[in-house]
Formats: sequence, structure tokens, C-alpha cells
Amino acid sequence: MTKQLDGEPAMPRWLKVFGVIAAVVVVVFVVVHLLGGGFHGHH
Amino acid sequence: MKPAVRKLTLLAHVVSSVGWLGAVCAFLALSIAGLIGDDPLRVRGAYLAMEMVGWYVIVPLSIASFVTGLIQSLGTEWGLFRHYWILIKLVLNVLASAVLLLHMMPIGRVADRAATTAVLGPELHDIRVQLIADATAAILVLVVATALSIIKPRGLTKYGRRKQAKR
Repeated sequence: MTKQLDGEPAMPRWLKVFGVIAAVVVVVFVVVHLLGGGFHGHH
Repeated sequence: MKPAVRKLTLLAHVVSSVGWLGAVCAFLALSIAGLIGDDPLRVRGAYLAMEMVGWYVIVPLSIASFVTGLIQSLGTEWGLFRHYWILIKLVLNVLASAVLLLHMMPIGRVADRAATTAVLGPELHDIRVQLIADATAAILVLVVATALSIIKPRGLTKYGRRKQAKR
């Protein structure tokens, strides 16, 4: 099992990069949905 | 958790998670075949198969992946909220399952139409395109989750740090 190293930043850099990419993907997903007719068929 | 049980649940988690990914790939192939196919019979068959694969393969595998993931994390010292990569996998799993269940309704609509109509009309075109986008997004999410499991990137949450400090 991997142990945490002392002095490591509270939020690792990979997490920040991941967060930015995830935000972009979510925005693209929502835009594609809206362009495709606005979440039709869900209600 | 006993080592044998831990290995068994790990096996179940890997099989269900990777199986989920594979089933979504099949779903994507069917959704593309359904959109670009020329033969109405094949197109209708593709959408009927998508509904079957969705309800009887993808949904059960997503639930199995979620449950075995919970057992695996809570039953070992990895925990559920201690490592960022496990937390992100949990969020991805819950989001993917929720979006999947939400999208089973439009899939059902297209499949119902395919079962009763000889040729699918243009009114369903947008939904059929949407199914391709959804399956592609699901594959992306599941590949990321698989990569996180293999790489296990370092990083403890606040809760994980507190737990570690107590040891």
C-alpha cells in the first residue's frame, strides 16, 4: 500500500489538472446535450 | 477483511468494472450502426439490442461495480474518503450510473419505436446522435476510472491525513 510522503501539498498537482479537464468535459457534455435538443426524452 | 474475501471482492470489482466498459463499447458500436445503417431491419435490430444490453448487462454491471467498490474500499485500510483517487472513482461511478439510468428512458423510446415501426423517422434523429455522444462520454469516464485504479496517484484528503496522523 502506498504511504503518503511528509511535506506533500494538500492538493496534488494531478488533482488540479484533473479538475480542470473534468470541468471542460462536463461543459462540452452539457453543450452537446443542449445542441442535440436540450435533454429531450428525460421527462 | 480476510485475504481470500478481499481477493474475491477485488476480482468481482475488476470484472464488473472492466465488463461495464466493454459493454458500453458494444453499446457504442450498436448506436453507430443504428444511426448510419442503411438496412431498416439492422437499424431496428441495433436499437432493440441496445435496450437489452443496457438493462441486462450495463445497468447490472454498473451496480455490481459500485457495490464491490464500496466493499473493497470500506473493508480494507484504503478507506472510501482517504485517498483522492478513490474519492474521484466513487464520484465518477455514481455520476456514470446516474446518467446511465437517466438515459435508459430515451433508449427505451427509440427501442419502442424500432419495435413497432418499419422505418425510424427523423424525429428521433437527435436522440440517436445523443446516444453516440453519451456512450463515448461513458467510455471516457470508465477509462479514466480504470486508469486511476491502476496508477493509484498519490494524495490524501484532509480526512485521510487526520486518520494517518492518528496512527
